[in-house]
Amino acid sequence: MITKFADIADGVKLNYIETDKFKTNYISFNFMAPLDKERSCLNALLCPVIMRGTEKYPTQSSINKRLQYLYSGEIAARNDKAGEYQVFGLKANMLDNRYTRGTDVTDGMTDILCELIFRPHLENGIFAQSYVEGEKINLIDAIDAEINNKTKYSMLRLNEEMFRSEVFGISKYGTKEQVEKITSAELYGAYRYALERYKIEIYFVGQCDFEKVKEKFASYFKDIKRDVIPLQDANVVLSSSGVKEVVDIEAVNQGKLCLGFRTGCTPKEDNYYLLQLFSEVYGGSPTSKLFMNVREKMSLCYYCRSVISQRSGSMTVASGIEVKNKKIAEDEIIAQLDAIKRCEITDEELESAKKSLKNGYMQIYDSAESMETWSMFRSIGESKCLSPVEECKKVDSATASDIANIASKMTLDTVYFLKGEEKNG
Amino acid sequence: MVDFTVKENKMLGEKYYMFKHKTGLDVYVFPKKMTTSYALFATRYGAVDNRFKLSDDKDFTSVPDGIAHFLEHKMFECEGGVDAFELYAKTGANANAYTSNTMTAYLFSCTEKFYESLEILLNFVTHPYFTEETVRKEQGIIGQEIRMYDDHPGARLEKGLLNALYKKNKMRIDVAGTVESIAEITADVLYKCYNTFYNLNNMVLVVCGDVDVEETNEICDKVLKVAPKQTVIRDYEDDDEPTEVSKKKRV
Repeated sequence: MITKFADIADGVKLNYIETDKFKTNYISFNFMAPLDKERSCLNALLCPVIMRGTEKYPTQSSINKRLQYLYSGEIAARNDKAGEYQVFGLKANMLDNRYTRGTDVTDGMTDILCELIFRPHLENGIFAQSYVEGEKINLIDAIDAEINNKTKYSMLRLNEEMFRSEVFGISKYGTKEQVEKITSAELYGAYRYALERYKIEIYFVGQCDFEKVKEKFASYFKDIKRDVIPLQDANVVLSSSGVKEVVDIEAVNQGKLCLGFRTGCTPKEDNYYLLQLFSEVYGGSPTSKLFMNVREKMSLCYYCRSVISQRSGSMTVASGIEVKNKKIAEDEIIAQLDAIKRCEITDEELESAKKSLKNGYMQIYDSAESMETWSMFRSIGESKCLSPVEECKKVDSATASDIANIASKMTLDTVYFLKGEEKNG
Repeated sequence: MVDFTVKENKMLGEKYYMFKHKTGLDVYVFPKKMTTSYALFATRYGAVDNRFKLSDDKDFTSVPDGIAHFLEHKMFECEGGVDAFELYAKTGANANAYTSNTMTAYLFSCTEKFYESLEILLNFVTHPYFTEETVRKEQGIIGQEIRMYDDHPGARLEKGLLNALYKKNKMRIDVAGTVESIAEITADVLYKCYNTFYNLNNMVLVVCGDVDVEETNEICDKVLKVAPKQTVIRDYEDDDEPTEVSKKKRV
């Protein structure tokens, strides 16, 4: 998938995915940090703060003016969690030069991106107090708002409970209390730490003069002394040691049932496609067992789906149901898993799961960001990354007993239920 | 050969074709060099259309709130107990549908076997099939969909806002209806709505991706039948909608 790459400094890699499919180019600059209880809040706050101003463009309005001149180029902060890693940084989208009547938008946007990252606006050698305080409020708002989306919130709570003593349970935002205490000096320290210690992945998707982009990024690293922390895959708990039950009560109408399973697989095993194929059969599509039974046959829910997290060796099944139907829904979810364990998979089910999964893989090629995400997150840590086309070939060769074999290692670990107060049923 | 019009923008390197199929359907074709191809088949029928008649009818028919969305769910059911998802499963297409205040759309995306999937799409949307029993079953599923949005602040805001803005205009009706209103829906009323609004003269097909105008026309020829010309009169009952908002504040 990657056309070309170059190591431009110690632990800094520039990846180029060349394509003329899009009218825009995409650049991302990503710090690959081990997810850490003390540091996740600092990393979460860092990019929103550096986006507030640079030496050359010290205010947001001066940055915006420059972006507008560059045909409304867009820059956004990212902060994603991938198992035991926190990937944070900036990503930019811009119009390709063939549409800009002579303006070199790609060069201009790369300049702004580098300015934001390497030449942030400072006061007395640290980040401006007002910028830090402003973004702390935004981050706390984001933490407070997590409960608004009950579907996501219930999955987040399951994650927290299931991985209470594992790295996977750490929030990518940190806690409200942690964020409140962050000082400008401390955040500046975290910024220097990120530039010097974290592995860095830069992606360019589209069309560019690779040497020129390489030189530009490399020049900014010249005066940074790098001493990179190696990334190591975390230990994955292979099987559940007994089912934990967690119930939360909030002001909700619909009950949210989330089941967390241990998959029995580690990211080192080259079986990502099998886990995904299993999930397609089980609860990943409108012809999956969960959809056909829990929804269509039993009319218990609108959604009931399974999601695999390979890095943490887990699977989540999530559904929205009437509170009184909890037991019957839970039993059916387990019964459908047991059916797969017994290899009760028809040829049609296997074929449609394969087609659906391959369709999803091939669609990756239609979005710059999807290609970047696929390549970057699949090659994180010690994993090696195959292209979507290569994964499709492996999917083709999978059999029903491969899927049953995957299912047989699944063990239920945590049952999370979010429900309304008793009076509402 | 189909008689089409082309619109082209040379600077962007984009063009599209449009034609009226002999059955009355408007078709738009956007060729693009992407891996994925898309098709969307839609009717001008949404949540606001809850009181209507054909020009020959004497009286208007009023239907329960949320019925356009309910019909969207039921259209996926095909004769012989299969549903459209199972048919798509054979081609690998990723299918979905949505209903808004003013339209209902059925769509899919795929990376292979586009015309086979297009045939499935055109076929199931032009062949309604449901019974009282399957209608009852759907009431449980959509009931949970409504309850899910009840817990969603963004959805609640939008619903509350439209409700407070209008006193009569049907934009105030929630697309999914309420648990009570959908309980009134029967197979008969669904067929009545279907026959009124799912007429090819009231519909549009858009395809995009690795697609060809002639081949698209051939699939339309194969699946679609000439639709009877009919005039639908929609009664929005909002002649005396006040110019001021209905409620200034709603908590």
